[in-house]
Amino acid sequence: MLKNNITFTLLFLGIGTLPLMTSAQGNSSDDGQETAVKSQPASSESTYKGGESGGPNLARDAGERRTPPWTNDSANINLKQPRTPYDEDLSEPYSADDFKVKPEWEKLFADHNRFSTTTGEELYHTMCQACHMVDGQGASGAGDYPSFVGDERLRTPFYAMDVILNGFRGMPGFREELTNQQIADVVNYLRTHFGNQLEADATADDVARVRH
Amino acid sequence: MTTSSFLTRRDLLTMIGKTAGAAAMYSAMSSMGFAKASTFTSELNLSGAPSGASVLILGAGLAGMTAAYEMRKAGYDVTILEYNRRPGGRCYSIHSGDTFTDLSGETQHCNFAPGNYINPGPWRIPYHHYGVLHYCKKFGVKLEPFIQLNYNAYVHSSKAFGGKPQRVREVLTDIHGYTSELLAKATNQAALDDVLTQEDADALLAQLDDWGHLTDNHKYQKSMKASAYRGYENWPAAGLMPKPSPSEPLDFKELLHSGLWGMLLDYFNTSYQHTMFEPAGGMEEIARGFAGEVGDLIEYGRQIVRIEQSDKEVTVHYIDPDNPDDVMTRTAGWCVCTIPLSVLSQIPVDVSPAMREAIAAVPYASSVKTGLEFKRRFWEQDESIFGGVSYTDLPIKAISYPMYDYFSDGPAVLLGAYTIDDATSFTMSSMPARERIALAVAYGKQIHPQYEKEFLSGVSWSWHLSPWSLGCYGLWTEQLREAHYDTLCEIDNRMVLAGEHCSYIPAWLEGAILSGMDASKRLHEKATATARARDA
Repeated sequence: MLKNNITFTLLFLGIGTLPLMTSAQGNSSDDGQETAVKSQPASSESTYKGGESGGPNLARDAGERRTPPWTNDSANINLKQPRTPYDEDLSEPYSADDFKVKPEWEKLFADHNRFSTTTGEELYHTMCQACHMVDGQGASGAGDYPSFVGDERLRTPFYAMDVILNGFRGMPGFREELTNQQIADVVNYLRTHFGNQLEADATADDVARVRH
Repeated sequence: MTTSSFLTRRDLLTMIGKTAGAAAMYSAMSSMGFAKASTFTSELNLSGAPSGASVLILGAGLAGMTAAYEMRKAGYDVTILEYNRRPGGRCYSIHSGDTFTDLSGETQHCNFAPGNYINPGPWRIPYHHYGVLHYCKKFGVKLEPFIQLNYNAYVHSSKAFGGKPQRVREVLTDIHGYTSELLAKATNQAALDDVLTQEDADALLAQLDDWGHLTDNHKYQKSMKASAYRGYENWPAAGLMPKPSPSEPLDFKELLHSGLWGMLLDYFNTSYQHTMFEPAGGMEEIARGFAGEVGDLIEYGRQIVRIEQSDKEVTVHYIDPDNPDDVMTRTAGWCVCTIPLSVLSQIPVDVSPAMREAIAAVPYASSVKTGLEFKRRFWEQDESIFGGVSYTDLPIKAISYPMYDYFSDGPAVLLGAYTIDDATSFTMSSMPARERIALAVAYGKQIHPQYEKEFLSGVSWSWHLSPWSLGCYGLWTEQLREAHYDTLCEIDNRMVLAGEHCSYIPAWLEGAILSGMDASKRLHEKATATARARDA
């Protein structure tokens, strides 16, 4: 069972990196039609509609526009929910109770260099949530934080373990800040929440294998 | 007894990490050559751009604006595309009246009194960051002293001295005193005889007496001599006011285990040695200074979605984030790309596989800053703290007092929390701003009990929630530099990267500016060489 999982992981990682390579190559292969005026030496500009033939496709079809694998839009493009604005909340005056150190803060900040909570749920909401958001949907600005909603890459627990241990692109790794058990717990949390209905079967031993 | 060898660098880093946490660790690493000092030598004086040559600059932060300024001066046709609606990037200030929305969707309004502000990113400039100082002078940006070391500010451990904050002057003097006493004792017990002659030992003892303020046969104890450094119980006054009297040193063992010793390191690292500076009116004044020169070149609201290169030109595809279906392109001969790697690694870019790997290799650090406004300057009025930084083992890590408008009445803003690159920073970043602000007050009042009564409002900025940077700064390690740094900085065909991530001074303005200068210089060399080869 474990061996199968690992094999599958390797396959998965291998495949996961392929679209990245092909997307860059593929992109250069379909250009040339949207034409900036090439004879002008100074910078020049042109405009086209996303989705029009010839342009890099920004249509809502993730496959067509070669969505990079890490943006995960293939899984959740239509799943984004509006977020609750905090405006009203912020303008409320603080009460004396707000300015008391909460028992949960004492627990969360017990060690500045390690995450101190133990359940997958607590870990998610005090670590991952900083970027992937309270609802697991990630976020979009100049770049994206991937969503976990219906995330196909969670089908194997080993991919998430690897990313949490070693980081991935802009995301730092957390190998120093988390124990194997904590990583297993948070992976199991991801696999059983945000619309993912997978087994919570990752163990600390599994993480130890990935940690090497 | 054998001669003890000096600490290895690893020993030292371990010790600092244990006693002082990641911020001190980071600054110590900076001082030990992981982040090298500025190598600014003189003003760039590029000239003789090939006729009609053009440059597209991606990002109007300090790296991009430096490159724009220098390359336009050299004769290039320069255009800057910027995602935000303002220049400066992470060189940013949140002012009274500002409204901003972070990646979580939370919107904050800065309700500070008019004129008050907080610098959520860079906030202090070392005297040896020659590039920053050069352009500030050139562009008329007024700099004021930034007080890093205020002897009357605090270092604070919640687990020592009953949680009572200690003045920096007291802790520093007591550490000098006790270590001098111990060394004198060892010297007198002949423990150092294999490294010291009698003459050496006498000279050492005499200097330990001075340096450690020792009295009464090399003892560090309550004395007027020590109080001249650590402060008095009754400070010298006049007339029939109380007579001057010495203060009691802190308990040595409690001090040793308190963690306060390690906190002092942030005052003495070359990154923080006096004289430091800050721009009057906020860090954004530096961005304004640059934009005064190159603002006419900047197009705002441009999100880059793809970068292509051929052997003749660079084509950049971009959208207006508010109208993402219209894709626009811009073509130029050359390109300086200053987009943070956290974002650039998600954009298809025509560069070599090795550079793509380098772009994707660098994680981005977490950092959170929280600004608090109070009704009055109680730190000045009640505690005689004029500027400077207090450090604490609480999750807020630091409190930095305003270094302008001393003695003024009315509301004032201090930095109430500053976390960087540790578990605490991620956890704080997971909280809504409202909770981060409450937290800064709840913990900060352990150091300044006036907080609760005097609090007016706050703003809190998490760099991982910044829509345009997706993190604070490029988190290089020695191994990552070894594998990717040179590749990342090389010119790839017609494009070169710049920014703090292309420097040995990550997270500092100087890294961005030097990188902008270096990238311009090298790109100019390549552009002129290419033109010569073409015309030959």
